Amino acid sequence: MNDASPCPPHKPPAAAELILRAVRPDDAEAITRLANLPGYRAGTLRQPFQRIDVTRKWLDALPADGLHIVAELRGEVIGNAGIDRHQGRRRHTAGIGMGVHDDHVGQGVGSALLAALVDAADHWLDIVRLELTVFTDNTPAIRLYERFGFEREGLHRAFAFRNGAYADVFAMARLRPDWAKSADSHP
Amino acid sequence: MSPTPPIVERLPVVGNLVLRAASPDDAAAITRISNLPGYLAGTLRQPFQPVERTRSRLENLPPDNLHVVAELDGTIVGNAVLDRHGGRRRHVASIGMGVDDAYVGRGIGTALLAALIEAADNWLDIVRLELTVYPDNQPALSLYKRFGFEHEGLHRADTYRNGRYVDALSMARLRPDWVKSTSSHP
Repeated sequence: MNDASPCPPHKPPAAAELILRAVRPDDAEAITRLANLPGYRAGTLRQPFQRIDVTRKWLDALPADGLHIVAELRGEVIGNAGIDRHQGRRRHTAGIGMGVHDDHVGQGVGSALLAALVDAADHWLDIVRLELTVFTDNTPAIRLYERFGFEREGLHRAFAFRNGAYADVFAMARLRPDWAKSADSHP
Repeated sequence: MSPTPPIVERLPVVGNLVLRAASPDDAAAITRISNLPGYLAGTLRQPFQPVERTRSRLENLPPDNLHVVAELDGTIVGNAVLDRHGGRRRHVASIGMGVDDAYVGRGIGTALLAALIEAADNWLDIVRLELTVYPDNQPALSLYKRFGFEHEGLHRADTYRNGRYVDALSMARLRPDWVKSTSSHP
């Protein structure tokens, strides 16, 4: 055990059987199924009727320095999450995206996924800044991010089209705790 | 009738300024200005950017993007890019721009930004234009404000610049007619 997550998940994972593992090419079908669920779609930037070949192409093109995982419960993929590392003068930063199966929200799956991403970013990937956007009315997600030390940095108006209207998002970010402490002495 | 005020006319540029689409042949000229220290500091460029990278970007511009160069008496002194997003963010585009260190404060940025906004508002049906800018880049901040961009957030340690992580401001501009109709939007 280490100090990966400043706040451990409040809720226990959906079951002791919850498995987190790296995404595989043959997850394309399961991920497409997730992405086409109405709740998953509303919380993300997915479009209806996403095709499996779009998912496959995305899986094939994942950059080597990113990190994409799925949460599996009794053999079924019920959530996924990823870190997309930025490049060049933003190499120390990465974007986070995640989603959980509509029938399994509120069961700690998101907590488990996010804890794994934050642990990898802090301890192995040397990422200083994790950033994400979240729809302003997605309270469960906002609470989850806040528990892991993400802070609101901005409000982007009319950011994405969702269910017939342009919707606002919050920009949130988390600086690695040790870095935040040493920020004053940073060269 | 354009919803964009003709701000460009308030700041006449001395010389013959032409705005036109960038082409792969401009790779060397664009690389030259993007390697200047001031241009670097105001953007996300890295030092010693090779011409080939610029050329490959110019050759592979998505059809939805605009890349405009400002040519003053035949020399490229600035460029600006409009990068349209896809999917559920198709109504959104990001803007990036820069001006040759020796020509800042002469209305080049104003002319470039006016051109991008005119295209976005009147021809591309873009509702939201967004950008990031370093909070200490006063000239750029006032330029964006003049064109209706508003602060939307302050992002800590956003970028590595001259030996340290610096914050960035995000700004956005909603198309004026859209803002007015927003309450009646479905």
